[in-house]
Amino acid sequence: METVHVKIADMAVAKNEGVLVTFGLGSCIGIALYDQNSKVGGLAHILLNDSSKFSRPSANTVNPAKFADTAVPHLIEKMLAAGARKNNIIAQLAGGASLFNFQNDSGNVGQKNIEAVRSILKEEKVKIESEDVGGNCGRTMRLFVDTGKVTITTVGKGAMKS
Amino acid sequence: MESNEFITEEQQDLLKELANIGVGNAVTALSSMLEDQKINMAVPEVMVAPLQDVPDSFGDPENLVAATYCEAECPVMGLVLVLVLPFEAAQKMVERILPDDSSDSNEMAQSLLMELGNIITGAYLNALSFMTGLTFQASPPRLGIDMAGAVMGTVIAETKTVDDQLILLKTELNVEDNGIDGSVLILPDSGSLKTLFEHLGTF
Repeated sequence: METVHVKIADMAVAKNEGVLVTFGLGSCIGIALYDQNSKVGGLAHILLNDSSKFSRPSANTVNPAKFADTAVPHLIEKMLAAGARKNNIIAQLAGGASLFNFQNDSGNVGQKNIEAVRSILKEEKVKIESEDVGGNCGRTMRLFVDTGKVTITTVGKGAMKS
Repeated sequence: MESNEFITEEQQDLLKELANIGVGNAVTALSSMLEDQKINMAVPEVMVAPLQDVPDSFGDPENLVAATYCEAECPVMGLVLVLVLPFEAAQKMVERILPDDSSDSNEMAQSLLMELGNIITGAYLNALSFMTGLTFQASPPRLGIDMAGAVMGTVIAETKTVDDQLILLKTELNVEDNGIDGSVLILPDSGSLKTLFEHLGTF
């Protein structure tokens, strides 16, 4: 079974079989989209919330997977091209954590990412089936394309001094 | 090392020299905390890499690391400094420095790691101020202990970079006879490099 590694600010789509995996979501969000009927799955690892707040005209800024508002429509398009139907697509989310202490919870990158992804999915009329977001630990997310099942793993943090 | 559209070879050399002096200062400070134990410092590397490849450049993205993160800024530019220690190395460092009777304090261990981040940031910024004539304000250090990939992703997100290519400076350290290793990373905010080179050029 083929495993595709989705890197940071990256996305991938697969059909019928295989695993899409993204390692180490911190404040970033993993968005897994799936159409049960066509068995088309997509996974994106987004970095920031809103391209319009950051982008300056620059040839060095072309990657739609970096931002929630550009990644979600782009991922949906790629899934439709692979045979998915928009009305069947459901979403599962992971990430948006605050890994570093002393972060201001209301203004942090992770929280803004969570809100941005929820809002763009609502706009796109894609239902969120499950979420494992926020908190303070990094996550690895896998989408099993044959079933649409998503697994989330974290690493154990031992005490610094025992 | 090659020149490319983002940074010339000469500019890369300048950045390496900055890292060399700054991290060199930091290593001296660190060494005195470790009873003058010798600390080796590798030649700084300038990495010009696609954003996607940066988290993986620290080995397995699921490896547990302890990272301290500081932001520094002056009116014309900003940068972040990160000290990344593999978790076992961080544990060894703490055991080495803290007296045994404080061994039950996880809080103390975390404070110590943040202090290490603080020392390295301060030493680096002193060198940078000296070379550019700019005065930097540094944020208090923050500590994160988690997967290397998650830590690096969060650091990149915090810099709010919009560029698809990142430039970062990486200097590897290791403490002789002790198996403690780690890296100091310096990431200029997007748009800051041009300002930095202007100031280095005029000084």
